[in-house]
Amino acid sequence: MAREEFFDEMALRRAAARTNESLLSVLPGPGACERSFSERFLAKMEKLLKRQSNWRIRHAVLRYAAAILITVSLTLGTLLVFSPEARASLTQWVREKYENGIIYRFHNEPSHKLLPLYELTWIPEGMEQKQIHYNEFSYGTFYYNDETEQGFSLDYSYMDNSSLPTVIPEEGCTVTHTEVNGCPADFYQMLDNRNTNVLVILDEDANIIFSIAANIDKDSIFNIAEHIVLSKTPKN
Amino acid sequence: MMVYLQMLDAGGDERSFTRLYDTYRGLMFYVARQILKNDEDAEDAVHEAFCAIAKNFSKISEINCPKTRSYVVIIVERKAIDILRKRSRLSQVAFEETTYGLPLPPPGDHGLADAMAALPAQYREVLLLRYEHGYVVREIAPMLGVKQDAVQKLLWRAKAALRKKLDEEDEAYGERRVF
Repeated sequence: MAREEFFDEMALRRAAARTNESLLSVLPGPGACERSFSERFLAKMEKLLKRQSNWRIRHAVLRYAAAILITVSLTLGTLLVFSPEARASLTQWVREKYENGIIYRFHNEPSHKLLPLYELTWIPEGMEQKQIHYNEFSYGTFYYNDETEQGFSLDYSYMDNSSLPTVIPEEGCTVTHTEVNGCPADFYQMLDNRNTNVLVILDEDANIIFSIAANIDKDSIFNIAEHIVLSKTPKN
Repeated sequence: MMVYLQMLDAGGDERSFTRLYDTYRGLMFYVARQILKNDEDAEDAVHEAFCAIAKNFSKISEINCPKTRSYVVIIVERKAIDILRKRSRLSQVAFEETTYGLPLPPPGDHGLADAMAALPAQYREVLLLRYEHGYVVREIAPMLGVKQDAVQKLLWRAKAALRKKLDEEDEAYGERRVF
């Protein structure tokens, strides 16, 4: 007899429901659980909350688009098996296939320096900046044209081992390895023009990974990328 | 992109991770503290639990509901027990079979539910995630931070432990029940 056949599925479900009720019955009410957490705990959680906030913004794009670049903390789960696909010449970063996505992994330890501020000196006509977020881990901004319903996001962060940018292309996506302003770059073009194309730029000198996700034409995306300029280097 | 903007414009996000954190951190600490008997370790367990929950946050449809309350308790109990296991010299299976989490009162069916509630914590947790919360093995694996085949084996051992517990009770009453 197979081990799974020990019990009927419905019986297990009924038993689990009753066991769950028992579990809930032993838990105290909210008033009984108030606690002053340590500074150490609060600092760790603040980091996680910030990173989770960034993830949520990008996750929302994913629901709409065919492709997305997300950055998640290593602490959010990296116990995965990767199959190496490509390795950068200086081994500063590695591009790897994981299931149906491409992950960029970095070997540097997290930088304690504040992120420099970059700006765009060209954007497509009619685009307006709708959203911006900036913290010590990442920068992200979102532009949108209300009339054409086209938009793009620009995100960047340090290339260090606390981040795992991932591109999840839709079926039919083509990937082109290219260069932008002398930096290695990957362009993920979706089959359907209504979907979001993604351009990833790895600036090895600045140790920063940029990504542009947009439902606009390829030339405009590259034009945006070529007009990313350093505007402010914070004092650390 | 419209979805993105609508989300941004929506203002208060009922599903926000921050709200989950504010709602359950005290309860999760209470659960971890019950198991670990130490504030610092309990905070570590709560942090680890939030990391695991963050990774699977899309699975949560509502913050303030019994299902989510149960889910976060299961995850933090598991993380607290993971901390205990790191210090244990027992083998994986021996540890699983001898480590109990929150003590649960018997649900009172004198059968499968009573046996499930009395199981060691890790067996009870995986059965609840599978049969009460309805997650499949592929979904449970990242929640527990293990591979899928480890979850499958854990489910087998949990069911075997359930069968054994029922058989022991049957012996006492001189009958064998079929579920």
